[in-house]
Amino acid sequence: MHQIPSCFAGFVHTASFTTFCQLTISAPDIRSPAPAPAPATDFSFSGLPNVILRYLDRVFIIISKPRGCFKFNDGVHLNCSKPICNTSSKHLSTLIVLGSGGHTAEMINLLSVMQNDRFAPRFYIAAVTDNMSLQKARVFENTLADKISLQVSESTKFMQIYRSREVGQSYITSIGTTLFALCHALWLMLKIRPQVILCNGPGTCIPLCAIAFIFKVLGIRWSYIFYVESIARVKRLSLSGLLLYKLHMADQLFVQWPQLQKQYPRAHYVGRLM
Amino acid sequence: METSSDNNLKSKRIVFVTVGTTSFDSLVRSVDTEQVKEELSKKGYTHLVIQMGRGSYIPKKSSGEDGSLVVDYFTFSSSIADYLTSASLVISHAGSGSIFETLRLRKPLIVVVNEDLMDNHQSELAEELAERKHLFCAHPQTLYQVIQSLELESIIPYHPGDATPVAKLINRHLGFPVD
Repeated sequence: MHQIPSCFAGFVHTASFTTFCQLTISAPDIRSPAPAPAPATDFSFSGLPNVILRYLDRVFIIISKPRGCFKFNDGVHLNCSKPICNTSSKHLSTLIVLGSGGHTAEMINLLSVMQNDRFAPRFYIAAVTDNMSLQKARVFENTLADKISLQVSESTKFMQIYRSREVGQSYITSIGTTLFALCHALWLMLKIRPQVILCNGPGTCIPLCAIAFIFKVLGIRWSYIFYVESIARVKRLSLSGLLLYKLHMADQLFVQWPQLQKQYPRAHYVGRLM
Repeated sequence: METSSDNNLKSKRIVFVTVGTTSFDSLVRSVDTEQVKEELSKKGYTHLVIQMGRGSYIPKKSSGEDGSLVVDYFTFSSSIADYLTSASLVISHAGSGSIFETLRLRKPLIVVVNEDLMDNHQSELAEELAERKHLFCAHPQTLYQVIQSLELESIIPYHPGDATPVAKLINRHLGFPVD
């Protein structure tokens, strides 16, 4: 069992929650062969219920506090957290969830200004029914490789995920497909074990983010979630954005219009991607 | 008609209509009305090219021999960009991909909002950009009026956004040195 890294402190904002931080939580190595069972055995018998209790405590805080009082203040967030120790010499495995059409174009715009040596290896995921997005990602990776006159790194992977609901599918059948999509997402997350998740909607990213969030809470694995709301959302967040915002799932949530940021004060507005 | 002789002398002025990956029959039907085609012709456009996607409404082809618009259509193309580049006016569905691709090429753009879509958040973007005078916003029924009152001079060019600040914040959050 490892002592909880100092970077976890950034997640902790209330006094009662601080105790959560003092718990010892296992942080298995990214390449450890058996990801899922390991944490379960790592928790001491008395430790596991403790974690659950503390989490319930936290959920209770979120539910019981009136809106706006629960401080997930970003100033605090940034000051008290040096999220990853010595990141200067590190690179982080990154999962990039591609939406479709316009969503993918926005994501590629963002990726083109990210330091791609820091965010590596990269895993791209798109919906099974979306045959264009991975193609665009491949083109993007090829141009990156051209720039530094290298082959596209073998560690870069392109994957597909089942969607919980196709456009026009009935709600009754979508229960089954949602469960199936969740299992598939779990399988992918166990395989990839990303340290950073970048997404910009639509719903494809939700099962993946939810699993990452549950892993975080259970101390199985810590992934940073960054969500950029689509530029098409001017007045309201999308359902995906709203879920990530309300449940505090995203470490940082960006919107692309100032009027939207006013409605969701914890979101960031620093300009548009398109 | 006076425009007929001009057509042969002047270079092509193409109106490109695009519905994206799905179907948008009410837009294609609206563009295909005599009223709209005549108005486009009056404005000096010579060709009408329609990308109709999976739509079931087939527009009337025309070779423009009588001096009217030359009308052509196709379902999908891998090189929408080429059509956008050659167009003098673009009439598009409200998908953000087409909108920004057209704006980046600095082409005059009329965005037609599809009212049949269930979760119609798409109109938000078109209306916001229309308010900022980067494009014109219409509905299938109002397309004719919008074309009639088209003032291309009033368009303010759109300056593409910059993703660097977002990347910077992400880097800072992860503890990477900001360079």
